[in-house]
Amino acid sequence: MSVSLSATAEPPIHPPAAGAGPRTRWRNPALYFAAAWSGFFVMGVELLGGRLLAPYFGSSIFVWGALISVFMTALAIGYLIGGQLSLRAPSQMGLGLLLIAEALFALPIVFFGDAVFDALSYAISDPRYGSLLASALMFSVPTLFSGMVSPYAVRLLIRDIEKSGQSAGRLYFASTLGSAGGTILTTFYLVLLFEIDTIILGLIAISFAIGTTLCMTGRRHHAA
Amino acid sequence: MRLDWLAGPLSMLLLLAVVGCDRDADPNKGRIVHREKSMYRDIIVLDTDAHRCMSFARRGGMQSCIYTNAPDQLAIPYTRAVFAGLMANPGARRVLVIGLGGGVIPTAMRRIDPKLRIDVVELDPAVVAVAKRYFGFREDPALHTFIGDGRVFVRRQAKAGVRYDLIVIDAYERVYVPEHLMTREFIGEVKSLLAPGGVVASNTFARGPLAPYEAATYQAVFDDTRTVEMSMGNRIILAGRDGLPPAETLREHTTRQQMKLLAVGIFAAELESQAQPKISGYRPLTDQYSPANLLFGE
Repeated sequence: MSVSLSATAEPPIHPPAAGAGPRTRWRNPALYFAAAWSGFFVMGVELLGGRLLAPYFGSSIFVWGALISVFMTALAIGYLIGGQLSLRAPSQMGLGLLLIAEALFALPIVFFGDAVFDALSYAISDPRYGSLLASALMFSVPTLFSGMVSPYAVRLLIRDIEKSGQSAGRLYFASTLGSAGGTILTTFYLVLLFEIDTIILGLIAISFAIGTTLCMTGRRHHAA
Repeated sequence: MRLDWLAGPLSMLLLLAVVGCDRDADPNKGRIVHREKSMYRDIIVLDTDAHRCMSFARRGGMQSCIYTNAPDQLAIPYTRAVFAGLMANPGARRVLVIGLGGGVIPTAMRRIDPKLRIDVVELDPAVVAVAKRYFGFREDPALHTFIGDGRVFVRRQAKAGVRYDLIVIDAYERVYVPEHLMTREFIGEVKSLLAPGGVVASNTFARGPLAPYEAATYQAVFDDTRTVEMSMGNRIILAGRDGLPPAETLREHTTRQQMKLLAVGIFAAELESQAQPKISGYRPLTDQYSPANLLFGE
């Protein structure tokens, strides 16, 4: 079982290969990497989002509550849509496009975030609902696309119904470990080294680069 | 005033008495009178031999202390030193205090000038309740407490056209700084909330790696800053919307009010401030770059 991008071209479900033990190779590391990066991206943006909201809505516990609930809801809907999307001609290119979309839809955070937060902080007197709406407007769309990555990638990974749980488990592992990495790197080191907009633009650039790479390398390969 | 000559010697006597007492304010000693986990922190009220103190951590600094048998006297040096701000704008009518603690600063202001209109903004409602229950903090028709984030309040008041003659910032703890309250943008918003001649007095850190960043941040907004340095690791940064009066004038104002100051335990000499040297080589903290709590550990 070679580790190659073409693995996704094989039919997703077939009887287990004779002699295949319970320990299988981590087929197609690019897919795990994409999921891990997406987790990293989400948590990086979420924590910096808290910092971006603070000047306008404060850093009270409810501002974090508003922000986190928006991210969770967007991810939840993303999972749902990502799963649906995987039913129709899933491909590595499709996965790449999701990462490109999460990157592009995060750009308004940098360019319009302050103006939107400023307007909402005066328009809505209760900072709970102000921060909730502000988070929903600026952060929900890129996070929605991030949420679509994992279920979509699961579909590309699974070739064997009996190992589907293993594949899904590994993908959760990668994605959640990526989230942990994004959380700790952002809060421990990145904020000390760079300005917030610089960090977000960096995250966007990396998402875009990974997405483009997935598109280019996977253009010819489609899952059945 | 004819009694003014008394103030000097009286100050020295009281100073001796008070300096002796200050050492008792150790959070590791004392009896816990009240302990509460609020939404934001652990609030501890401690009684020692001579003091009642509010602390946010068992081994942290004191937020507020009062003398058990003289609650009108300001027991912690920094709470006295912020009155240098009032002396820099002695005609002040309207005051904003950001961060309540035990409420000793607004309480003493009320005693000094019954006509002051004082607004206090405090994030944690539990702190307000504890200040009222254990530290004798009282609101009155011209002293209001608002629950909420200091920065949100400052922006709202500025937008509403409210202006203050004196703004006291007492929102930084020794172990934690609300990062959005120590940025060039926030200090700029505070400046925009000052009336002509208005003054800001901020309780900040004199020592530690954060101090020069903090100075650079205030100096990025105000041309001239002065400081009142204290022994306990605090310092007050003073700055004026239209600059500050010269040192001579500040001293005159203080001398003129020294009896009133003494009534709350402040000695004129404690309000002596120095021009703060210009900080260079340190980046002002901004909304985009404000790792204040990480800089603590550098």
